[in-house]
Amino acid sequence: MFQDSGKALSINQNIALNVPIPIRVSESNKGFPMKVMLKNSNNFLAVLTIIDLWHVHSEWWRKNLGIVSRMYYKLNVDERIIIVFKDLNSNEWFVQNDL
Amino acid sequence: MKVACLLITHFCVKNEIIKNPELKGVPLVVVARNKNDLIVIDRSSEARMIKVGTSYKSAISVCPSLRIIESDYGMYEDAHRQNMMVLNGISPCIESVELGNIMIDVTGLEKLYKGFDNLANILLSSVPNEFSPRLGIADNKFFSYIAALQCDPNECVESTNHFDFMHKITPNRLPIRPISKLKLQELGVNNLRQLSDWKIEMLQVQFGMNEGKKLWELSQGIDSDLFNRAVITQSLKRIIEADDCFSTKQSLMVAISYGLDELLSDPLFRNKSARSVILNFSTVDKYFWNKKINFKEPLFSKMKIVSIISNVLDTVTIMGPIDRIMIELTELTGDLGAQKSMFLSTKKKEDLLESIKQLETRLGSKVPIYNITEIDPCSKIPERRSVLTRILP
Repeated sequence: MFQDSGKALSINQNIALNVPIPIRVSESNKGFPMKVMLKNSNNFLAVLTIIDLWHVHSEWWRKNLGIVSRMYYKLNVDERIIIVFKDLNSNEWFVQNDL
Repeated sequence: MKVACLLITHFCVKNEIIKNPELKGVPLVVVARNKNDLIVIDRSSEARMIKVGTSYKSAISVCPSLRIIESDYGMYEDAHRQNMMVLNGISPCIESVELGNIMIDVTGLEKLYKGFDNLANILLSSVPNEFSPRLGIADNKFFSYIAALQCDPNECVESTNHFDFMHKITPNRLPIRPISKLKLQELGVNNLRQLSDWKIEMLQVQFGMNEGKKLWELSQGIDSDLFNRAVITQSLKRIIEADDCFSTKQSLMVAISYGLDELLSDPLFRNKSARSVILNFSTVDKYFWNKKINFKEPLFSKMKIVSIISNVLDTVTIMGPIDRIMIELTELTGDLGAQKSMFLSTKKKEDLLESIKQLETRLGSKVPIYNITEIDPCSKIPERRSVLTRILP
């Protein structure tokens, strides 16, 4: 029988695609995104419309390692369509395009 | 971790004595060119009154019977590389610090060689006796170097308590910037032990965040420098020295062809081919010309290699008549020929792999060319769906 090496499982030199990038978001009282500060901009840009929203709740079986719970928003910001999500565990905002 | 430092002091002088044994016992210095002057870079024990870094003129004024030899870094690097290859046969993890200073990771090797004493004897006897190597063994690189400095030629010192040596470590021996060494002297610090009472904050105020931390760690017997394992690639080298210099391309090509004949018939080259060749010419006036030529595909045919070298030499201007040629076939590989697959998809993949190998040879590092591989395409979490994987491991 093989002995457990104790090391975390990893895929060595592989690079994950479409990793979420942290962004700053100003929320309304109800928790909806109102203004977004994108990576290349120093100013907050107003959210013109929320086109769509959905909730991702997954990996609920990995209680100790953290359940994935995200609220996704498809936004029209400054005439650009972007997809952001709020991590409901940490209350942090991320941008994640190319879904 | 156990690190052994194999130190060959006065490496340049010892190489010159091995080349010409008549120089043994003679006051001797090795000089190198520096801005139209010749500077002493090494001296024999008979010329200990001469300081390294002085001009050769002042060296002669101190010792009129002095023998002066111009440095031959090609020869020193060959000898150093040879030592590295031999030591790499004993331990897979070695690091080259400088010419004549090699670090060897000997963790656990004492079990294989029946104790550290036996291992030390094997390491010392692995390099030619004329080099009179010294061996220091400690828990980290810096203190193994210090231990090696403390021992006699062909002897080994194992440092079990780093504080035993601290009073012998002068600021000049520390791996810090020259300005920090001067500052230590200005502060009246003559050895590392004097620093062991200092707090890290005080050292960081005086020497900056990083250097202050480094000094504090060393004064506590800690060396946080990582072990940089040297990758030793197989290569074959020939040096052709001419009594009468080569002044035409034809004579140069004849000499190169002769050198390649020897290299290609070497038993080490059997069933192998080379991805690149390094040419190094030295002119009569001590100008050097160096060129690495990468082949499109691994070659073992003399005709093809000569033809490529000839084409390259057509496009360059050499500074003067050449008296020394060095040819080195590098990146030897077992890929003998490019037998193309009859299936188009396999052929495309083979071509891509070959192109990546050539690009890596040209750039000298891994190239960032990836495949997109699906991991869990139906995952609700987008970053889990696919990853970039390296085409060549």
